[in-house]
Amino acid sequence: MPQSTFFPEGLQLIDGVSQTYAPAWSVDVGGVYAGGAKSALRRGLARFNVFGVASDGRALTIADTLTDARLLVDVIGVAGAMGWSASVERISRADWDYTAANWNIYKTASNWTAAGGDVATPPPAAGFASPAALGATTIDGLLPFVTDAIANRAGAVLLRIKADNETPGSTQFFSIRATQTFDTRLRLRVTYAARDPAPIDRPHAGSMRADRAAASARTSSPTPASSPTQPHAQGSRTQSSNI
Amino acid sequence: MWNEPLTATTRQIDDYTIVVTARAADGIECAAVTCVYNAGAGFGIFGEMRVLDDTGAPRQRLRALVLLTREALRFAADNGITRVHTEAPARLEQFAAAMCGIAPDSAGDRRTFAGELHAVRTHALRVSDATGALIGMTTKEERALDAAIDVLS
Repeated sequence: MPQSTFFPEGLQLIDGVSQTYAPAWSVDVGGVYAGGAKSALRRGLARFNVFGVASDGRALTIADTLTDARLLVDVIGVAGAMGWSASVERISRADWDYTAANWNIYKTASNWTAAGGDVATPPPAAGFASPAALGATTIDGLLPFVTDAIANRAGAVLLRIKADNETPGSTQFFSIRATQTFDTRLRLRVTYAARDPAPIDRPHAGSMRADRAAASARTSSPTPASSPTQPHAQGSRTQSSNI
Repeated sequence: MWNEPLTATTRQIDDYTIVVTARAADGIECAAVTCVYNAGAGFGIFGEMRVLDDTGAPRQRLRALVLLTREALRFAADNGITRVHTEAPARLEQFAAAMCGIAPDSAGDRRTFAGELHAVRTHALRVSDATGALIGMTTKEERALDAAIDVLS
């Protein structure tokens, strides 16, 4: 089945300890107990546009029937226990500005209603287990988010990733690469079943099979140029074959 | 002033946490750092260093922190850690960069240092010795580091 892959339009981590610290070089999730200012409570935020340019495949359309959506991630850090519960939720602030936001604000001079990011349903949160090793893995179950984005949000998929228990008492942390090479950047992959759109130079064309049948018939048994079914195509193809 | 020599040891808190402590010859705890890691994933985070006793001379404090770093890196190497990460406040950027040999990523008041353990440890062993002295550092540089570390005490 065809797939389209999208890089994020923007992402960042936000930190509940150093609340103005919100860089974009990784997406960190969970808590770190490493003493004073080195402790951290991290959540990751990311924004994709599935109507925008795809890094692989094509932009999605409202006519597509989606069958799967997942984040492809490269885990670059795991500290503390593994396999703890985390969730992906929908950010409810469509105007979240990843260039200015932090734990307290979603854009310049505008506070989140709840510090750490506002989220809402639908869709319901998608749970997953934190990764157990460094390297490539996936966060599955994001189909409802993409479906919702196509139906209601002009293709914008806004995600917040956080630990379910943010006061575990000991370090539970993982970090996802947000930069570096093409193959390892965070990205959203959507699988869909859809008829390919009609070629742009023949917007009224029928199916590819019908076109091929008509062309075959013309080759074996030329029809008059005034054929009512293919008036323009016939003329141009005859001319081409003469050249 | 702390009694010489200073030494650093590691104490395991749980499966994912250690505390590295630098002690004076008479057993006084001079400085400590908490580190968290996951041996299965091969990843470790170097935490916040704290000077615990304020009677140390400035250069002893600096050497205590160097010993903490060297000991934490040794523990990491012995326990299968391959990637290390730390975030330093801006005032300690120079010390962190001198110890790990990495140019940091910068955001706000934090400096993030992350890299392969073998490279970081090789650099740390090259620029310091077993007493905690930084090799080849000018007096001016040493004073700058002393000033930054004093803030932690």
